[in-house]
Amino acid sequence: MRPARWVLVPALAATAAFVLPQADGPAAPDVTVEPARVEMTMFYSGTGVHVRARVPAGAQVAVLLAGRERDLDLKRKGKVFGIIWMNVADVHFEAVPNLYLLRTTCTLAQLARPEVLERLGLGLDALGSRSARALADPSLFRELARLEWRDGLWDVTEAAVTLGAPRDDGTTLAEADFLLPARTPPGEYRVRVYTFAGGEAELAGEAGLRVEQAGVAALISDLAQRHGLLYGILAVVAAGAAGLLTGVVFGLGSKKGH
Amino acid sequence: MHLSIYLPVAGSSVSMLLLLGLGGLVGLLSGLFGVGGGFLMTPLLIMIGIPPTVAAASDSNQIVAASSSGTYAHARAGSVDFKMGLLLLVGGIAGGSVGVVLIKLLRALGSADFVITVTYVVMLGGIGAYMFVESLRSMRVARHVREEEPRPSIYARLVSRLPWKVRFDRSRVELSVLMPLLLGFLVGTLAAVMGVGGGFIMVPVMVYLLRMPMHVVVGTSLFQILFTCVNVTVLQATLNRTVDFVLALFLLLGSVVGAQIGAQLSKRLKADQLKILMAVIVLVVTAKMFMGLLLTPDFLLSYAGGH
Repeated sequence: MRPARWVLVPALAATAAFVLPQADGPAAPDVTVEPARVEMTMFYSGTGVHVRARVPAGAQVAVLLAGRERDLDLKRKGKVFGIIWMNVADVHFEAVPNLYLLRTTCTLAQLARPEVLERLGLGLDALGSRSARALADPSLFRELARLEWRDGLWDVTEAAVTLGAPRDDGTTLAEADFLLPARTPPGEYRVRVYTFAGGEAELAGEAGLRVEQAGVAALISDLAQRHGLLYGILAVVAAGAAGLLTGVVFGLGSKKGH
Repeated sequence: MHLSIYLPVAGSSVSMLLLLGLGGLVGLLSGLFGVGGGFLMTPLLIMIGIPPTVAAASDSNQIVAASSSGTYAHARAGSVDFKMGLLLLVGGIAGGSVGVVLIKLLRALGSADFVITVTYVVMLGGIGAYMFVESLRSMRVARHVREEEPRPSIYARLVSRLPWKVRFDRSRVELSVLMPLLLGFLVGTLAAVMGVGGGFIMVPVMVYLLRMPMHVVVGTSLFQILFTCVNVTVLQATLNRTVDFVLALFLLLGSVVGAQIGAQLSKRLKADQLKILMAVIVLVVTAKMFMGLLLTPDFLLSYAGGH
């Protein structure tokens, strides 16, 4: 049954008011992420992500691509009997982002005061003050950062946001490039664009980025996670069959040898 | 050029050629010495960025291929003692279960990491050094005059007094069934504590304690490893979801070929040459591990799961 026009029109109007920017308000947050959806197929080895945002001309800019925060338990190495290095304790970090890629137009110190950066969670110092606050030795956060940095999951690059020529409407185009490493966990990510002017910081806009496994990779991952026993049996049968097949092939080739 | 492959369970991307090469190298050792090669492959996989738990579980999966390929080649050559292998397997499974409980207990006491590391270095170093010295000695002494060597007579007498003696035709020995059962149990316990398949402990046990001929040792060890790794792979896939079949597939493509070449080579090499070669490899791995314990690590933090 078709809905009556008198019901449909106000509903559409309400939706439009929620989704679309106000005509007489401030400039619409204009952040585009390309691609907005990344597919991890069998040949995925990391990919580039390009972010474009319209920002007020003259402002400094920070673009943050970050994932969900979770608690993290790691092992700390220490010396046993003064000679042997081995895992000696568990270390618990809170609210650690699984991906943290930050690009700025200038140095973080030029961007804003430390307390502003900390409030916005911009920079490793800001992250550390949150994640390592319960630790007896906060310097361990630097070790965590080095570990994440090595895997390409954390990266802060200053002076890596380019600003275009100012436009008539008082805005300019800010652009930043990111490299999503192969180890990026599948999931939802947020790209946030902050602007800084006169010591004040503002969230100029944000957009989402979805990273998901696709095709055969998704199929295998799904089977492994949902049907572990079946997956294990299939893996064993396939490996055994491959081994026997090779044995037979090589056996035929070397039959004379026996 | 797309030479990288995405590993969906490990969640990372690795060069296909690197995996094929690693598989080939470890498969060669497997066919040559009758070891699964886990003690070598798992640390190598961790080194190239695979999470430790996924590295160990997927390695078990690929060993299924290498050991079935190797077992087939050795069975055709008549160098698998199935009777001995089954008894060792029964003992090994029982020992493995005890080892898992033991490691849980040690973890609760907070000393698991220390025990695992010390066991690793002592076992690898001890076995490697013993094999090396023994092989050198027997290479120097004229061939086939082993009777003249001083043997641990107390051990020999003890073994001869055990009941339920059975003739193992392929191995050309007559032993109490308790021997393979007990030794299998011991190796199974140690392997579970160390988180490895145990081939590199089993091979010297067969050579020196069960007195089996080297060419039968390799085939029988592979036969036993095959079943151990089938069990571990299914358990890891079911309980921990850490088996990455894509990783295992590329490793096994290399390893099955390597295992065949190894099996062919092992027939051409003399027993002492084989033993001394394996001893050198075991000693090199031990030295590398020992240095890792002494030198300041690059990172003071590590993800949980490896040892």
